[in-house]
Amino acid sequence: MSEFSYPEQVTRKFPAHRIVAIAMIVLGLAAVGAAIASATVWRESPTVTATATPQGDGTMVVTDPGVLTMVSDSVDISASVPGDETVTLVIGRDIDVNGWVGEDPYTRVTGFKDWTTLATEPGTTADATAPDASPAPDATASPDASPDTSPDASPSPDATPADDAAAPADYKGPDPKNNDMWAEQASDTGKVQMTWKAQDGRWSLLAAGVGEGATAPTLTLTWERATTAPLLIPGLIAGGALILAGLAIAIAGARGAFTRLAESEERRKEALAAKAARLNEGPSDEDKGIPWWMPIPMAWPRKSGASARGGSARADAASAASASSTSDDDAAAAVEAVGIDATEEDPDANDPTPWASPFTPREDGVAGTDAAAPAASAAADTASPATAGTPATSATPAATATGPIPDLSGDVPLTAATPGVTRKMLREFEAKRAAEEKAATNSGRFKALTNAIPILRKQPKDQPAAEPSTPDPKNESAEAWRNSWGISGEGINGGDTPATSTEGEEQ
Amino acid sequence: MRVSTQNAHAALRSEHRSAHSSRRFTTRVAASIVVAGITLGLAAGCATPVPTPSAPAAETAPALSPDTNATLLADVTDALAAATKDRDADKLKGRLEGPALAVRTSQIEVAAVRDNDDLITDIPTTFQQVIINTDETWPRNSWAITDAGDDLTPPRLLVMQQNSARAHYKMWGWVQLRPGVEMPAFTEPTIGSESVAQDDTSLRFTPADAVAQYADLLVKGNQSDYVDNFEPVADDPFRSFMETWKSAQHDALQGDRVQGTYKITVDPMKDTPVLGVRTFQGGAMIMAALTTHEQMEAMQGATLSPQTKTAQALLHGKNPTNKLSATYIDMISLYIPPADSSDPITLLGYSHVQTAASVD
Repeated sequence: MSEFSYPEQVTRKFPAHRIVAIAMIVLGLAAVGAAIASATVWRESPTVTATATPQGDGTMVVTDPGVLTMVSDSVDISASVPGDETVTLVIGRDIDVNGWVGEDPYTRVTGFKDWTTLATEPGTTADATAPDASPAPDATASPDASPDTSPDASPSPDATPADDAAAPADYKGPDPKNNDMWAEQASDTGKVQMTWKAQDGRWSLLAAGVGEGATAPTLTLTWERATTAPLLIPGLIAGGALILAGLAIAIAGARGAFTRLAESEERRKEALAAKAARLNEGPSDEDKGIPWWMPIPMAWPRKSGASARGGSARADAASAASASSTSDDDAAAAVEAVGIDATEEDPDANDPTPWASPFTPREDGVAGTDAAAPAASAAADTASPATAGTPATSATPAATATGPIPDLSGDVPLTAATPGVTRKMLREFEAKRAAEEKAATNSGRFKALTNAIPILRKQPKDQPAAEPSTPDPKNESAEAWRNSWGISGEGINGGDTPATSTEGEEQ
Repeated sequence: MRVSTQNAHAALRSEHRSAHSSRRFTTRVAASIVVAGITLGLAAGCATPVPTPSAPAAETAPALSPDTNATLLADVTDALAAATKDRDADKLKGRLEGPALAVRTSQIEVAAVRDNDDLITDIPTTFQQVIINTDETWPRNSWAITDAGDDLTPPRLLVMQQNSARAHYKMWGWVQLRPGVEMPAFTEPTIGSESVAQDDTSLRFTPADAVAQYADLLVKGNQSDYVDNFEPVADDPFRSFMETWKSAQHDALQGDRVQGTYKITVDPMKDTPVLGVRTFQGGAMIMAALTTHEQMEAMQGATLSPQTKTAQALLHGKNPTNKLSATYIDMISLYIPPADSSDPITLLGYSHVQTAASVD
């Protein structure tokens, strides 16, 4: 009855995991790439160059305090004027510069407009920082003074025409060069440059076109800045975490699928059981000198049960496992180990309960455990009826057991029309099953690593000596295993699961 | 059979629950991934906002840095040296003004007449201390004390003034410090010292009043009403010198064949403010210019010949008569204690240079 629910579960759950996993991995890769790019190709240019175009009239350009060092502590300053006019650069305290400029019109640089343009506005003669420097001498300056008490509020466009009218056409640009107040100064024809290092205080730059018919210079400020890649490390970490999480989900999803696949593949359990029976003849792990800490492949996600299982105190391990919470992963691991573990369990292994108990699921989220454990136990338990050669029992379950697979393959035309099952899913399912079978057949090579090698000597009431001497047909070995565990055929329920016998034959 | 079926049912139920919670989980994971991706994209893609200028709040600071002050002092001493070298007083005008310019111009004139620079006051070009005012408006001042001169003359105290923002700092005055004078303490030039206006009332006397009192003292000596505000005359080298000078002139005019008169006036220089700077203790160091006028007249027929080389040079070879007048520009520096002090006003230094002579 679980045959049809099986592929449905796969379609519901497995692709969802995979989508999430793929999305996380892709995003993680993108994050890593972006982080690297942020430190390389996207990294900010180490040089910032911004230009101020003079506004209005006047021959002078003045920067507000702090403009010179708003990117970094060192700025390269360049000012140019057309032709062979003279241009002078000076740097002084803002109060000195404003006092020197006095009432002449000028262009005020207030900061960045964007990364390549400096914000400018016409300077006002009534600068609040130097009100006493030179009292407003003429009528044109006084009206401007009152509205401009807050300089930024109104750039006072009226001031420009007024000053323009006041300034004669042959206005001679004053030269700030050689004033005692300046901390730095430079003057040249056409273009002049200087470098300024940050100092304490409020420093302004004054660039002035000098002489008859002078024009305000075009000012260019260039900063070198130390560019950092603050997103590099967080990006790498976040991306790496995403990738790892995606991989984890992918693995978990795949393992979950294994678990559910295993539910219906009792034949595999049978095979494992049978194989385990053979393995009973092998040496114990103590004999083989396998240390207790040997890793257990495929069982690694198991929390306490897996790690404890390798120890000599298997009974404790079993109880510990039963106490530990399990998940889909655990269930998957359980399926891996079930077939082999069965051989080492106590005689009451014929009771399904101890089998179920190590994998007792949490209330939620553990899908396959309940199904898997009984199935496994059933596989182990029903080995004997199957191998006992009872045709009826072997035949009946065979149909049941092989049911899922032939049904699915046979129903392909039908399922193609069914929304729930697609060809792709079927293909995947087939591929999974094939892989599972292969894994099952190869599982023997893990016997050492898993430490899941039964120790027959520990079984008190068996006659292990007889077993090595016993010829080794499958039936006999299975019976020997059964005997060694004290399993008797009549104690086993003969339900619809003994079909594993057919699987056992495959082996 | 029964067990297995139950198990299968349980598995189914569990599977349903698991699938349901798994979808919720998937949704949450997908949502957080999208959020993280958007955040990363925004952070990576958005350009850094442009910085805004930031500057410390305006605070009181010296108007000149030690460097710029040293530069202008060098310019001043260079101008002095160039003018002396060429005996061209015009070369002073870029860096001297006020009383200093007048005195120096006269000294260069005397040197040219005498063809000798000995009477030009030596002003050392190295400085042991600078005092920079914290002026934010103009005029601004700064002060400097030179090292002792090569001839072990006492250090000079110079005061520079910048009359307007576009003007140079120019030497306004200087005095030769009293030998062994103990100068008041000032704050570091990197911190700056407050300017003291000539009408500042935080002092025992305003600078203008103190200068006027000192001028009265120079004329009247111990008969001045203000004598108690100052140190004893014996301790004041300038007043001591003037007392000696006045009595010598007076005595010289007392002969029977001369029967001359001697008149002297000392007044603060017209239209010339007193410059001052706050000391560390709250007092003030001031510098002021005085105009001293001497007039001597003898009986008819007698002749009064100038006794000093400077006066002789300033007469430009004019023949002596029974009249002789002299004009001096005196630059004095006083220490005025704070208002709550009863300490006397003391002289820190002075300069007494004749700048004109007449036989009319």
